Amino acid sequence: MAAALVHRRPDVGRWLRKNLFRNRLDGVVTVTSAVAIAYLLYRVVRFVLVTGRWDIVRVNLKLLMVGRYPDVHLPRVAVSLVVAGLVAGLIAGVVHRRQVEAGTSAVAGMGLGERVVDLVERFWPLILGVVLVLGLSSTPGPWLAAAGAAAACLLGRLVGGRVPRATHGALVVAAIATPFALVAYLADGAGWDGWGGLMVNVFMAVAAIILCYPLGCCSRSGDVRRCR
Amino acid sequence: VTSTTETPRRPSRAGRPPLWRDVRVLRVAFQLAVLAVVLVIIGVLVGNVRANSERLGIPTGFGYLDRPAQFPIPDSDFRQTQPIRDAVAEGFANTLRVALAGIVAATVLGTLVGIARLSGNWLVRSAARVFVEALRNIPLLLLIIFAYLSIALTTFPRIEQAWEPLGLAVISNRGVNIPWFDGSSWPVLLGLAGAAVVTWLIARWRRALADRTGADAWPAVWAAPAVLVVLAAAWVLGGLTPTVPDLDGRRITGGIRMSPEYFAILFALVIYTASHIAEIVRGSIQAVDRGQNEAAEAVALSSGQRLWYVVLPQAFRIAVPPIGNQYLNLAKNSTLGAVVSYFELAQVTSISVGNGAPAVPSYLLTLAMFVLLSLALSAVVNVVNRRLALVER
Repeated sequence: MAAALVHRRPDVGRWLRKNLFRNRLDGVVTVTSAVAIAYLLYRVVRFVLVTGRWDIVRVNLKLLMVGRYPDVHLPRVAVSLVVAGLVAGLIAGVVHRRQVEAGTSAVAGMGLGERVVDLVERFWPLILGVVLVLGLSSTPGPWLAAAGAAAACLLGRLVGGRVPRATHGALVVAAIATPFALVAYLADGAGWDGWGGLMVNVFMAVAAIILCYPLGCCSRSGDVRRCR
Repeated sequence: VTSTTETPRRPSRAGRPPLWRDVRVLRVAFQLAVLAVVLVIIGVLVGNVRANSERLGIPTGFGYLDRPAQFPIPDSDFRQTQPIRDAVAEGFANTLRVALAGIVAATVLGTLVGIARLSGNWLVRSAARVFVEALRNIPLLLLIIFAYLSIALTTFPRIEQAWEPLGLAVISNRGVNIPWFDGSSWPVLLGLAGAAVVTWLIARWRRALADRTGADAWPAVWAAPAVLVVLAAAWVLGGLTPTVPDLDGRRITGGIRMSPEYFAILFALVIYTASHIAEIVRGSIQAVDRGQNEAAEAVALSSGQRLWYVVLPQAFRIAVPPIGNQYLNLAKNSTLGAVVSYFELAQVTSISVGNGAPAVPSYLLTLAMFVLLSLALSAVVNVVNRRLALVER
């Protein structure tokens, strides 16, 4: 018996019946939820587009992003973003190559368009945040820094997929050391008191994430034997 | 035949390794060394605090608790001439008000959202997902400030245009007034305690009867009228009368008032903790073996029955320990109420220290009270966990 593969066109009515109106109670829940969500969305959109006053954010954007970091040293922030993007791209490339070699890559067979959609699905919060910040900025500096970081990330991704396997270990060590190097580089420009805004949040988060591993491992090392 | 069996002998002293290579001795010595280092560090710190306090003339005892507080506590009967001891007690009561109300509300909301995360209805599932993802990724401090400034003070109308839903509540930027009762709280507390005891006794009796005869237990059906009778008796004997908030111009009479500060901290804590509890509930439901659900479906249970009788009891067994951690977090996070000037324990301590109370004993007392609160919550959660745990043979 020949199995005929029929390409069924998406049926909106069937989807609605299956996901929103399976039975009478489901229909009531859907309608009630839809009214509540529509009202909330209306309030949020009205606030964002009509009643909200965003000038205060636009005026204080630099303060929110980098605090009192001196203007003359702001290029250091841009350079740090580019280096961070490059290293992230390199590691992504290395990971992708190893996944391809192991046959576990989920994106190996995708075309370019599908890859872009996949990237947007995975990194939409980051992309949305960057777009929002850039939309509120009134100078070319943030645009150039963001474009440079994105280009460096892409370059790193391409190079990372081609570097010899023997260098992968060294790359991972370099990636772990990079945040420390960048912090030292940024602190060299303004000292420790000049940090502020989102930059200090990122610094604290990265430092805490990196430091919590050795401390956590040390504090629980006494339990290793018990676990065996 | 010659027996070659030898009786086991204890190793002679001469056969033992020297002390500095004996693993048992080294283990004990290492632990003693660590203990000694810890004790030395604690001793140095305590000595340092004492020496500095004496040099600066700061008392290290708890005699300051009898001094007048010199600050009022809003929405309470506390006066500034009363001692700091009473202020600390009032602050702890405010912490308990937030923590206990928050635990109940966050559990209910979190459970509902967690179930909604697995709903077959796409709209409900998506809304629950947005709720969880949005709230879990916002710092709680910002959420509290946002709830206070953007909801309690800005979104809620001025008193002249206060919302009065169904005539039962009055909501304005002066606070949320809800129906309550006139009279002492003791009859209510005693009534609730009595209802809990009656429920426990009836559930025990019905389960024993069900085990003996095989009849349906229906503990809730039997307990509900008894609980109503107990609560009604407490209400009548305590002489309580219900009051509904009434807006008269700019004055509100009746009911009970939640201040904007209390509303903000409670609202933020509840939705933040509920988003975490929702993920725990979702994970716990998914951790229940799929075969359980399929078996329940095979005996023709409806989806609601499958959830209520088969999945949720097993899911809650998994969920109780992590949910207990969320309760502890909620109680500890109540200290963030200080950012909206809610007079919980940490805020009262902070103001007392600002008014001249010694910092070290004041904060030590606060830390001790939070440790006690956390241990009490942990004890309750552990009791529930033990009751739900599977008895393995």
